[in-house]
Amino acid sequence: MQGNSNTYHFYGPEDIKRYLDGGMNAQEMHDMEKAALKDPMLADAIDGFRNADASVTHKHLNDIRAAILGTAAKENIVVSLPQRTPVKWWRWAVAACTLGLLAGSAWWFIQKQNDIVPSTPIANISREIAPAVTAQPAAETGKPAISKAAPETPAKNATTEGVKKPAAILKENHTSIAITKPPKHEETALKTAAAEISLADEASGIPKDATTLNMSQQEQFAYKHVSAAQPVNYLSEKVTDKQENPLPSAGVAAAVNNNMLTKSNKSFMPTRDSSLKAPENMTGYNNEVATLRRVHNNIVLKEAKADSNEIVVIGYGRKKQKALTGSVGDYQKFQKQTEKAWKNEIIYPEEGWAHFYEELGTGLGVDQSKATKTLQIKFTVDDNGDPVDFEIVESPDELLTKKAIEMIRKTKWKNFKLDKNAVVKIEVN
Amino acid sequence: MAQVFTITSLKQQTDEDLLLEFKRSGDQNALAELYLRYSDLLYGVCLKYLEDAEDAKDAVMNIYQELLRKVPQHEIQHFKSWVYVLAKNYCLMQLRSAKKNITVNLEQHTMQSDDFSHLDSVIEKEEAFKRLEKCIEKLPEEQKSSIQLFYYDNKCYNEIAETTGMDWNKVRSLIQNGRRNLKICMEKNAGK
Repeated sequence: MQGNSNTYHFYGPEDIKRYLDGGMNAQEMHDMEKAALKDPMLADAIDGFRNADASVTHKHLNDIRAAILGTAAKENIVVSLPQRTPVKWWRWAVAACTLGLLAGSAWWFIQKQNDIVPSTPIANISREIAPAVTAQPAAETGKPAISKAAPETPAKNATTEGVKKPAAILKENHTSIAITKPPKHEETALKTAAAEISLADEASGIPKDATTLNMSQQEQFAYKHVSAAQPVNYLSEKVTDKQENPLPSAGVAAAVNNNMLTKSNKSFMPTRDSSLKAPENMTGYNNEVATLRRVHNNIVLKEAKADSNEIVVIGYGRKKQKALTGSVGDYQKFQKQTEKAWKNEIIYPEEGWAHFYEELGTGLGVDQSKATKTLQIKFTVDDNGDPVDFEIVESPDELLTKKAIEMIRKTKWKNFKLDKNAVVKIEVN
Repeated sequence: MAQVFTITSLKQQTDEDLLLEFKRSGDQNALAELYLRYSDLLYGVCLKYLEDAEDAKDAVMNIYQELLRKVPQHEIQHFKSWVYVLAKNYCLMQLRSAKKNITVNLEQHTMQSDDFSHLDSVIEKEEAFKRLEKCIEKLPEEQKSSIQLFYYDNKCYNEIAETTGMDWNKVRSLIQNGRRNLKICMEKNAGK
């Protein structure tokens, strides 16, 4: 029995079928008959369904319903809008939390990067610890080259320990500064070396920390400190001779004092009122220590009397400066990464001086604590990298000298200047 | 302050609302919904007059097409009665066009149609009850007994047929004719 908006129940085909099939009780039948008396449509429908086949009428009723609905749908093209289900509040909360976490992570990562990544200087800063200084004369000056060795230790020592000695490195086109922390037994040699290149002037306020700068332009060294909080700072200097001619090959080493802001990459930046003591050196000129101001500096180098056409290497420290020999150093502690510096030298062992002297000392059985005599051998290197034309400059013992020559022969050498000589000088027992 | 909209589905709307909606917007869904409420009974009506299921089906679908044209043109007070008359006339026109010779008892349905609008309310009125009893007493005996069994005792046709031993169709006819006579009697005595 179907409901209707009218005041009486609305009877449908199923009710009629039940009525005709006797499926209704007496009361239901009475009610329906009463309704039929009031409703001629129902009365006619009852009469119509009475003699009809139920299966056929059922099918036809479905067809009629489908046809009417199909007609209505065809005539009315209704665009059904997608239902927008309301987004629940907790979804917004989850989205907000996710965004917050992402933003926080990004901020933390950027902050961390700012702390870790060093500021990028304008000039290249060598991350390697150059063990020695090799200088080639500037093309226009035609001065002979001088190789100087300076003791070095790994960078990790430099960054973790407080006592550091300055080391100057003079190269052909760039200068690098490395913070060093030499072992105790080398301190004497280091002091000597530092004195020679005028870097260890602690009395004048030269800092203990030494930093190496690479100079892309000899007329200035600049340091760019890139930080979110600090501006970029530059220092410039001009290195000239007495006639005010610029010396483009002059090397600069700088040390950091308390007025410097030192970064983790060993670079530094002077604070507003600080000055920088920077030793200047160049082949053929005396070393000078200059105080660098904030902006412009003019350093004059005096020409040295001495000249050199030899590469001099001195091992096992505690040696005094010899004529025509340049830098000082203990090559035993040189690490492999430092040996790239040797590539810029004129004559050097293929595996580096440090390795060479280590092998040489071991091969000769040198007791370092008892070493008092000097063995010095001069030689040159041919096109094949073999040492030739040995000249024994100083020999305390013939057997040691032969062993030394034999070991020199076993070593593979590099020579970029065939007319130059190499000198191997070692302290022996 | 949130604004509350009440959206009533077509199925929940009255016949008058659907009719108004179709006239106002031309939305055939409204008319289809309205027509489907009575299409099953109209199919039965057409079955009665056309006496063929396929013809009855076609007639119901064609009547819907006529509705689309006629509904906008007429003021319809009671859709159910209106569409019933429309369907019956359509079927009779189909029979005439087919030149079928059939006999239709129009009197009976006319009488029922009159009852549909007036008799129920008269019977249910307390003050008219006595007049009704007097009119019933004036009915022929078979009509009187059938009316009393049907209205007073709430017996269905089958029960009346079993009680009186009369045929089912005769019982129905007695009741329908008795209703007609009662109506005439009540109208005559209305002013008394």
